[in-house]
Amino acid sequence: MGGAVVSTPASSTLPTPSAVPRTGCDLQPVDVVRDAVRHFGARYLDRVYTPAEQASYAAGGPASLAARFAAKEAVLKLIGTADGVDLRSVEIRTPAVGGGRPAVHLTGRAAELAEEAGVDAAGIDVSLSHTADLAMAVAIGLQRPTTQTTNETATMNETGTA
Amino acid sequence: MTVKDQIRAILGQHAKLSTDISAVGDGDDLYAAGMTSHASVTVMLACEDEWDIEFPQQMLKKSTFASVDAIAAALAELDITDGVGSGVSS
Repeated sequence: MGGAVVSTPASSTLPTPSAVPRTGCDLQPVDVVRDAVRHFGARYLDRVYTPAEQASYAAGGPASLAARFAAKEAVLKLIGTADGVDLRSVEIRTPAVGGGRPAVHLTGRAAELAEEAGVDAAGIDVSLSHTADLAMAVAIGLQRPTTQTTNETATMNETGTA
Repeated sequence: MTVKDQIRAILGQHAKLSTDISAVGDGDDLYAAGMTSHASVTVMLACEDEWDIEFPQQMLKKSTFASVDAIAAALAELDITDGVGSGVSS
């Protein structure tokens, strides 16, 4: 046996909890987004989308906007709740030129909820797609175990092996 | 027309339910009846237009728009009740 051997108490031999993947997804009909823009106009756009997201609408039309709405919902599902979240605080950014991967930028309550859920907001990845009729998005991120979960796991193991 | 009648009219136009709004009870879960998150946003905007109000951020919860009763309760918190508030006719 090579290397140093360190004696450790039994309680510290438990596997170190590692981050676990979390996902969220959403499907969005394009026509309802088109209808919302027609009916509510700037009030809908300004209430739901950031200026950068609205720029993508100008370039890509309602299908592009529907994909961004789906991405917001996918991220909120990943985090665990949308309660009290301003939808603009989940911003889906895309490079201004040349396409490329969209990026997620969380602010406000969305950022707080991600932190409370143990999700690394900077590491959330999203993928968007759409046809003329439907838009969809998938979000994935890593959730670190909470202290409470670690303690509960340790207690259960200690109880089980006593 | 009562506030709940107006809510039902808004839901009929914007909630995109899978069933007719007349078949939905005041306490029934609108999400279970087919209302999506996006539809709840348009319902919110339509309510704001109807009564010339703005829902505060803390009221923008899934539960606020979960039923006719829940929406009526949220409007009541904003002082919109039968016979009170702009756009309401009794």
